[in-house]
Amino acid sequence: MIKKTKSKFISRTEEYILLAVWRLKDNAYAVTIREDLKTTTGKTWAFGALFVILNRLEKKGFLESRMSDPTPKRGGKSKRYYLLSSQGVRSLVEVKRVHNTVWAGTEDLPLMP
Amino acid sequence: MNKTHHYHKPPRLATWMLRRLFPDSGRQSVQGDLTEAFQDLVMEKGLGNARFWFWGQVLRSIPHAGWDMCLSSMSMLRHYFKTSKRVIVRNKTYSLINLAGLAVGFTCCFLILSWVRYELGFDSFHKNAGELYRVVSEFHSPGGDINYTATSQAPLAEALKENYPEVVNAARSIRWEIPAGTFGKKFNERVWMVDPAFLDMFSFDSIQGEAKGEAFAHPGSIILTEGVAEKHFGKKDPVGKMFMMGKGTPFKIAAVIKDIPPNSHLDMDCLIPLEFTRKIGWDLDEWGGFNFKTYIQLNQDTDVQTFNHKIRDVLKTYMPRTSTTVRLQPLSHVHLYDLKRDGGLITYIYIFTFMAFFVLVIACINYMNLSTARSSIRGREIGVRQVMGAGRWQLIRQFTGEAFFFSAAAGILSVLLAHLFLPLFGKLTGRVFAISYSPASFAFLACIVIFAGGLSGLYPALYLSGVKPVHMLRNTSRSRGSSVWFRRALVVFQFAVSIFLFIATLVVYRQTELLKKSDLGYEDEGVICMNMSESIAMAYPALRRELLQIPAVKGITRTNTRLDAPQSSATSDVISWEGRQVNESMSMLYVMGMDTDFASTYGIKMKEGRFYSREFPAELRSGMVLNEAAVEAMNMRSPVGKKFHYWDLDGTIIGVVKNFHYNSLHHAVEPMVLKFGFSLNTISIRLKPEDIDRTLERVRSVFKKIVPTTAFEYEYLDDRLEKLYGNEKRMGNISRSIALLAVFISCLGLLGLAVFSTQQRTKEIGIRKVLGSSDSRIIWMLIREFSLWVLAANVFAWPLAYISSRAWLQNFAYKIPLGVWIFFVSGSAALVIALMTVGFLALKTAKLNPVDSLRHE
Repeated sequence: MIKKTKSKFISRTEEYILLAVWRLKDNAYAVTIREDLKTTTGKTWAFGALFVILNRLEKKGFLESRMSDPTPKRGGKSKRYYLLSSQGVRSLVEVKRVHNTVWAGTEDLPLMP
Repeated sequence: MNKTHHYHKPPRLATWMLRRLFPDSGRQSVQGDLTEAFQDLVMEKGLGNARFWFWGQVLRSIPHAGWDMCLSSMSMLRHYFKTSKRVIVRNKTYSLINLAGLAVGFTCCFLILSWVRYELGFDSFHKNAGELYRVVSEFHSPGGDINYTATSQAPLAEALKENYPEVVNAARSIRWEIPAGTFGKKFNERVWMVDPAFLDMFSFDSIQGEAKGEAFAHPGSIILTEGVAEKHFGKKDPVGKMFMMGKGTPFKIAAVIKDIPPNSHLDMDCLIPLEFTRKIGWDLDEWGGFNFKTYIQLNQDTDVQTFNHKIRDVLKTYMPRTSTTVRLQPLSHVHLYDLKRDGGLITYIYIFTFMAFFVLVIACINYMNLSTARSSIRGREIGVRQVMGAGRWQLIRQFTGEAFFFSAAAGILSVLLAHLFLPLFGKLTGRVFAISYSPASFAFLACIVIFAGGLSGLYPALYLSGVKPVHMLRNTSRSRGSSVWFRRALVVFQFAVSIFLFIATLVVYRQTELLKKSDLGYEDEGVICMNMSESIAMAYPALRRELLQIPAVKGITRTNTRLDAPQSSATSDVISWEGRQVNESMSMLYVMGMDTDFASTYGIKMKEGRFYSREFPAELRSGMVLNEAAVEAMNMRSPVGKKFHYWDLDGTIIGVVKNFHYNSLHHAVEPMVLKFGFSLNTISIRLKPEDIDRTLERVRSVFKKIVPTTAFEYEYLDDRLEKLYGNEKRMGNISRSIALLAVFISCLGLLGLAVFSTQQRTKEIGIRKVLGSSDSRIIWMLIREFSLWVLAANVFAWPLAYISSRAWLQNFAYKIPLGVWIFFVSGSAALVIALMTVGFLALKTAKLNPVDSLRHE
């Protein structure tokens, strides 16, 4: 029973994860998402934190998932591949729009302080 | 793919934990993801590192996953809370019965266990409490009997300290009650005379000055407690001032200490150095008398058992012929255990803890009974839940949750009740103590709440969740057979406990009455006692003459102590008599001192010979009066005129008095010698009981006239006698209240069940009435079942009550017979109360108009 939540807003962490899923296209599952996040944010994420947020995003309807066939490397467990739902894409677009407006006119901000 | 790649299994326990943490979010993939990353890491950094990493990942998931679980269960909790609330509001009677039963049970438990904590905490405030001991002397008689005293000889403390390295400190003490104060006013104060080491062993909080050993470097020092200092000196700092003791001996106040807490056996108003008594001619190096309480502080790592073994025969070194042995008793045992080590207050503590527990169980049983009985009413709800997909586990959670909800509400209520009933409870126990609202006591209450919630919720939860939904939905009135039997068993258990407590209460009550009413062998009514002061002693003849002028004064006499107080004693090695065989001896002889008026004042009867009399002045010095028990112990025929010897005194027996009870009725009367003129410290005056207040006024005015400097302070002998049976009286009080509570709670439960079962049968009753059944038949039908349960309860309660009552009565030398009537009365009382509870309801139901009852449902 997946309950759709009213909230349209997403947190910063959720934003990172949604973006990672978008970038990874067909190969987005926990292990690859975690690696992607490491390159983009520079932080090593705990799997636990990742699972919780992925679940939450799925419950909120931003993500959809499908199961793959089990592989021996995973101890005979299948992968759960994630894909952005239309709502997920919409919210990312919205975030990007807000982002661009908010950051407009700050191009002179130096990259290194 | 790399050829060297093998599959490595991640740590099993960690995997299991992971599955627990993410139960419903595709645990397959979660486990798989971690395993995959694990494999990569094994290749990269080796198995050990990878394992470490895996564990780290799992442990780090805990807060994330935990928080998530909390959030999701919140909504379910809110739902349970809502249903619980609805259930409570819809069934007001049941809810009230449940809540009242649980709250009363909790309050009872809470109060009793607060009391237990108070009693167990006796003397525990001393820093070294764990290392402190008191010496107990054991007198062995040739017959194998052992007599115990908590006193020992004066030089023993020093001897133990010198000869045993385990002994860190040793101190003697002796307690007196004597008039003391400043010049103007004197009151009777409890004075402890102690060695300086005493102050270092026990912890006293100094307010002014330093209450340490050095304070007693000078034998003329005194330490006062705060209360006494304030009584005599007001708010002023008394240190350095003078304090008069007894005959007017001045002491210099060295320090003031905080009042001793009420839960201590050191009942003192002031402390003076024992050394002082040398000045008044005491011999503190003499091994003859057992007069001092000796306290010992042992090394922390000393084993008392072994040490006791070592010192057992220490007295033989100094008194080769003695058969007396010594032993150490831990400070914490002084209050709780009697000297024989086979009972004392601790027994009562155990008994009451058990009783509190039983009351709690009875209250929980009420809850269990009512909720299972009501299962058929809630059957629809449960059935629907099951059909909608609620798992068994969820239902269990719901019902235990409901029980916890009730139990928590009752817990809050019980704090209020406990606060309300504390003064009353204090009266029952004869103790003044406050409930401490510390985290510890709340944690304790929480434990009770959780225990009760778990106990009362578990059975209904298991039972209700185990029924098949089809049964639940289809059939609303018939309960399952096994559960009915279980409920009956529970009710029987409840009443068995109640009846047991009834019987116990009756036995205790009868026994205390016996103690109160039994013939002591002397007149105790209207006797007042007071201490002899120096000025009274000097003016005694005039005082006696004047007092005897008052017609309501029946007699006045002097004795060495009050009649109920422990008497001086002599041991077998210093007792001898005419015609004594070699193998004969008397294990213990009590020595009492008095003047010639003793027998007439107290109405003590002679068996043979005569009492001391002024007409035979020679006998006053050389005569001896014994009691019956002493003559029996010596196996002596026609004792009058025979020689008798004790301590260093020789004399001729001039008379034998009938036995009288100079100690509590726990003990049989033991041999005693009554000696003229020995240490006359107490005055007893016997007054006519009628109009005693007026007589006391006249006595007071005589005192004022003859000894104006001494305060007229007295106490009734009956009051003191009552104190001898304080434990029994308190036990009686508490057990009576607990028994009443237990019956009350059981009846609440019974009432609940009765309400339920009559409701269920409303239609049946209507049909019966329409078909011509009479009211009385219907009442009988309803009552019959309940009375059978109560009768069955008797079967279990009686044997147990018989066994435990007999065991308890073993404590007394004089005891009541355990008549069958006690059992019958208790059994029928329970039956009558139960019938009254149910009968009222049955009557109401039977009187209902059948038209109404048929329309029911």
